Amino acid sequence: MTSTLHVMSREHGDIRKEWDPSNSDEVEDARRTFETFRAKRYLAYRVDEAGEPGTTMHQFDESAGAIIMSPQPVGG
Amino acid sequence: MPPIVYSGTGILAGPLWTYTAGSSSTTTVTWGNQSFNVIPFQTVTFTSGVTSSPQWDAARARHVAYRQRNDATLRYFPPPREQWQQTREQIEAEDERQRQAREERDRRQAEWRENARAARVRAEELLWRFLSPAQRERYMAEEPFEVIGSAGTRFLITRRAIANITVVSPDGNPVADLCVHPSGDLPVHDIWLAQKLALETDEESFVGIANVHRGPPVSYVDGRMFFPGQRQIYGQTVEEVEEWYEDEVPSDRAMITVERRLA
Repeated sequence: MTSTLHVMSREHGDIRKEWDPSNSDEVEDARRTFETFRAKRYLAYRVDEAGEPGTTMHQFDESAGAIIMSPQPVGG
Repeated sequence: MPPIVYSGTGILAGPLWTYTAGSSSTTTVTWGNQSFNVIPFQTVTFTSGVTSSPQWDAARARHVAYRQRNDATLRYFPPPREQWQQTREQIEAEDERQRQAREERDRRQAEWRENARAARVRAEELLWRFLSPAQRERYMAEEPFEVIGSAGTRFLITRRAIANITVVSPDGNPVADLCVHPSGDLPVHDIWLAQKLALETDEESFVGIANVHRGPPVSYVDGRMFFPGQRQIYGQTVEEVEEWYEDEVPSDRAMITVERRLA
């Protein structure tokens, strides 16, 4: 089963990284992307089932079905 | 009053001599063999006929120097003719350069619009994928979709440009509009999805960042949003709380505590 990392972005809507948990290269690529954006203080949510509330992530977890990363929230 | 006679020429510093009468009375001025009556405040100017004198020459030199110094800075000096008179080839080359610049600008704008459109489509697709069936139904009807926060509060995510999160009280009334969004510039559907996820995972922190644009300040008591005047405390009715206090707290203190909590 393929998992997807979505990083919200203005230019692309979202940057997508897909990985197969059994493929170490893909997992490593997704992990690098995750950590790059975590370093930029993006928030990460693990959402396994569409429509269900997600959970906050601080570390990359290759077993996640989908991860969505969004920039740090600010008051408007 | 005897006339004032001005006859000497040695005092003149220029070809003109001006006299302004005082305010008291009419003055008679004699210039050469002419006499004038000058009424108060009137100014008369005489031509001396003297065109050369040391004072006059010095004044004229100062005047010429002044004009040379100051007029040069004000005067527009057109560039030499060879610089502004373009050949046909030069004009055509400039037209071509401007045409290419316009085309490049139009191409970039079209590319930017296309990218923005594609980003919006992807963002909407992502939002759609993670909405619940009930939220999708509201979204399709272009109505605010409801999100239940991690602390149990009901929120509406609306399509307003600012303060698009509405807090709904337990009795179903909108009580406050919150403005909080991901930093930076994102497609609007990404913003809604980020708001939904943040509310569902850590409502209290997310609301803590928000600015309240309408309604009272929002606060949390024991991890649940507190609504002033609400008839429920921590998800229990007043009667349930009173009953609990009667069991747990000595009766003389029970109602006082409940009233304090309701205040």
